Amino acid sequence: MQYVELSVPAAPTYLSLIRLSVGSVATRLDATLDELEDLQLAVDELCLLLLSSSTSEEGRLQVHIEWEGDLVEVRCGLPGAVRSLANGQSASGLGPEALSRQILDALVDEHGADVVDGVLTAWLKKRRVPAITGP
Amino acid sequence: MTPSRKSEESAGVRLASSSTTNATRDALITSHLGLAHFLARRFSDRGESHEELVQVASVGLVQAADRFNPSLGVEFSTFATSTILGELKHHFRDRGWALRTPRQIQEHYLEVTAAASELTHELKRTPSVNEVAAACRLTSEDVLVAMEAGQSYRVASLDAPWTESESVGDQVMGTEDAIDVMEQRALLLAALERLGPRDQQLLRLRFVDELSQSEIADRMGMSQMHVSRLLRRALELLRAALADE
Repeated sequence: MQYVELSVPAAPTYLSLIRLSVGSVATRLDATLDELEDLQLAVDELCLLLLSSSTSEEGRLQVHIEWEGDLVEVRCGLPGAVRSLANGQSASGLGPEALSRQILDALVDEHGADVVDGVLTAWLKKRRVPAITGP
Repeated sequence: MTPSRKSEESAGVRLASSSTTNATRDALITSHLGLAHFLARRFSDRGESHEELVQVASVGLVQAADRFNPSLGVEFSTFATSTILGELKHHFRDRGWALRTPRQIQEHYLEVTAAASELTHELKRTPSVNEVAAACRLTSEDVLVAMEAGQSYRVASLDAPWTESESVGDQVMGTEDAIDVMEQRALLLAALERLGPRDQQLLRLRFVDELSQSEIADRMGMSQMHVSRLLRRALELLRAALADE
């Protein structure tokens, strides 16, 4: 199991850094552009979900990207993010979260959110499809 | 600098004939370069150098000279103005460089886009970054950076609302979370209706019908990377609209 960890200021402008890192990992797995961009879109969504649920503008987004075989898992934590995002259960009644779930459903194999050590952490798992990618 | 209307028309008439000479075309272009500069200046606050904008405007001018048909009764300067403006708007819309992106990365992006679409055709699937990198003789990091740069865009204005009886909003929302569903629907519908028909269609194909980006590209007659860019912009617009609601 390999992993990369990033810690960036909690602001949308740093998402491109995260996208590049995710892209670099996906490239190591020889993902197709389709898969890579789906993964990047999904990670964007995950981070924006956290950013939009944070009450503080000073936190740092902790991003953990790990991969093994055909599987990439991304976990994003943001201390200070408060809204409950538990997967599929407790949409808090706001449009953006329902939209994010719908988008993630379409892009990745699994996604959800847990509280880890008191920090709200959103995660996703995406499996590369060998039948499509491999020559 | 600007030719008299008479000479402009005679140039136009000669241009329209099949025996267009390069000299005539060049004369039209040369005499209207001032117009290209003038129009380029109108976009000078968007983070691109004047020289670059003049280049884009000049491409529009050349196209205008190539396409001009005087029998339509429009003066060349009028026709050229609309063509040049179109080219400038197209430049900002499709390239959409949000900040000044280094020229080299822009060039990489163009190479990467071309290689990706060629390889997709050749391999009958979207290529990997490594395959694109090999085709362009770039490193995979260069390809990723170029793709990222290509994704940058300005959020377009939402001043062109569009509504249709069958909205994608009806389909984007499922029926889960019954308690919140009405409120969510109302928010999403309102936001979606502020997007253009193409953005709505893209979102529907990707997130409701769950077609892949390449399948959407095939269906809509554009490259997969273009779909990717439009999709990201559509989501950004949707978020902005939701934030406004």
